[in-house]
Amino acid sequence: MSRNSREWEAPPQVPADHYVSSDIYVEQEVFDLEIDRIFRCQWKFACHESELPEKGDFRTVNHAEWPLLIHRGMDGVVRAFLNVCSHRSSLVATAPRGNAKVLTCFFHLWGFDSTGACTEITKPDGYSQCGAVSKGNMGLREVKCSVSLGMVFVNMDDEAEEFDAYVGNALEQLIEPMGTEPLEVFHLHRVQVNGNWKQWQETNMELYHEWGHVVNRTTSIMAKKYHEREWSVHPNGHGWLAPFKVEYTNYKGWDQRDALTLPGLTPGEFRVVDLFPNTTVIVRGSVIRIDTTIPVAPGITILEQRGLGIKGESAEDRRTRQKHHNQFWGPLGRNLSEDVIFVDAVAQANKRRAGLWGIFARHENMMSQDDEIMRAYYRVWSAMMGRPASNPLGRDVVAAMPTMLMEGPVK
Amino acid sequence: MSLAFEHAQAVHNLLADVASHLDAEQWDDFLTCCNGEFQYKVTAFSADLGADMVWLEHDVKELKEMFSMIPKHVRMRGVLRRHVSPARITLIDGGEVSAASTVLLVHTAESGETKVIASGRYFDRIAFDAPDTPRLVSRHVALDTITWNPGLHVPV
Repeated sequence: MSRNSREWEAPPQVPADHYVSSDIYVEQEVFDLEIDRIFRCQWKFACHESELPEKGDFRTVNHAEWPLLIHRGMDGVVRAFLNVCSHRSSLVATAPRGNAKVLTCFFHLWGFDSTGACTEITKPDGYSQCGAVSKGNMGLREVKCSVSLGMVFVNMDDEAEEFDAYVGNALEQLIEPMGTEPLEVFHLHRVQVNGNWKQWQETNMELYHEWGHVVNRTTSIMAKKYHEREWSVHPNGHGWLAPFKVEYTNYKGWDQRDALTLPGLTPGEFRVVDLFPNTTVIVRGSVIRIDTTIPVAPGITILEQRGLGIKGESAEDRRTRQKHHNQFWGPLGRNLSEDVIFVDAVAQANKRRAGLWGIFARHENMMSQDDEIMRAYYRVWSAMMGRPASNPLGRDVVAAMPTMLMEGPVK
Repeated sequence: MSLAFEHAQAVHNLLADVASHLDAEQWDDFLTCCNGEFQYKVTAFSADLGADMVWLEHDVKELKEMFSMIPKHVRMRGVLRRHVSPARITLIDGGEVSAASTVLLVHTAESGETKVIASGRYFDRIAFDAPDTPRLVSRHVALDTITWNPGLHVPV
């Protein structure tokens, strides 16, 4: 039976942590609060250390609406700074990557060393009457930075807990595949997603949607033990799933991935780790994907996706690994591009509140398609935001019709 | 050695037919424009990594498998058009021809909204199977675009 407007607008008759309001995806007020309360105080993946292989190498990235500069110093240490000159607030580095022993602002040629200390002020005698403008107190603003399993994480909050405490044991599954041999990013592409950043993270946690992908239906859902994997949830909102073997040959034309298996894995083994708020690492036997998002506006997100293989491997091995990567995750691949369309479809309905609720009410004893991973994520989100994901704006919600209430909560 | 006008014309017509078949998603017709050894490759340059990335590399068998699965996939709705510049063609060793052109991949949604979604270059090698019938031996699509739109599941 269809529902009338009152019934449609009533909150789902499930516990409040079993659904979210579409306000969390579309409202500017919520988005602005997320920038302050989540992105400017939580650890966030910035890049992989292989993107800075040599002393002096740098990368520029955007995080929490601010430009950052990640630099491998002349001492080999990776540090992060606001990519903002302390003189006139110009970007210091304007290229996505480069190498610089001294970070020189191209505007007035002020220079900064690997530690962020100001080492050069052009024609400094002009500031002789202003003692505060001197090399000693015009350094760059350093940002907390931690490298774990080759992944570079940053945190804008000087008082934030250390990365290891924040991430806890969430990365344990990745220690062998990512920590045994040096890895290298061989693929980086972006997608402008016309949806909210959390929607993308949901695609990496809410695995019920895998029914929508033909490639996941055939190679994963139809494989043995798919439904027997258990989610683990960390109090900080991270989650990871027990490994299982994907049957790649179930998809027409694909070979089994018996070769080039990464350390600690069995052939075809799949692992996934979701890190709050918006980074996911997925391992598919021979290849690794790291994806993260850059929130631009409530309904605009830049997805950044990296593919990793073994550093220094032969051209033939790299070619095979790239093929494995591209089959599922490449821009012309079979899986990732479909997720973009799913996200877009939800965003279109939510944009003007035609869609009001997202339901995360599946219970499957914490197995693959249990929504507890989503509920845990949004409990952490709600705590950080100081607002429930089910009603972040404190709206007066329409009461459910008596007939709906009589049906009781969904079990 | 120079290319006869008729052969040059046949090459240009082949390239036009390839674009037309790809736009119309006439995969079998596209494959008739390729010889049995055809190799298709898509690369893109990453300014972040300072390196070329391989995004797709298929032979004829793999292309056929890819085409056969397209109807089962979730895809961006609408029409794709490949706006291809006139090709610079050069006779190379063995009687083959190289052709270089630029391409814009343009998507028009069912609402009528049009967007350019990719920019790049085609580098083609063409052989004459029969005296007057050119076919693609290889196509290398070198993309400038790395911020990509939702799923194509089809060759650029």
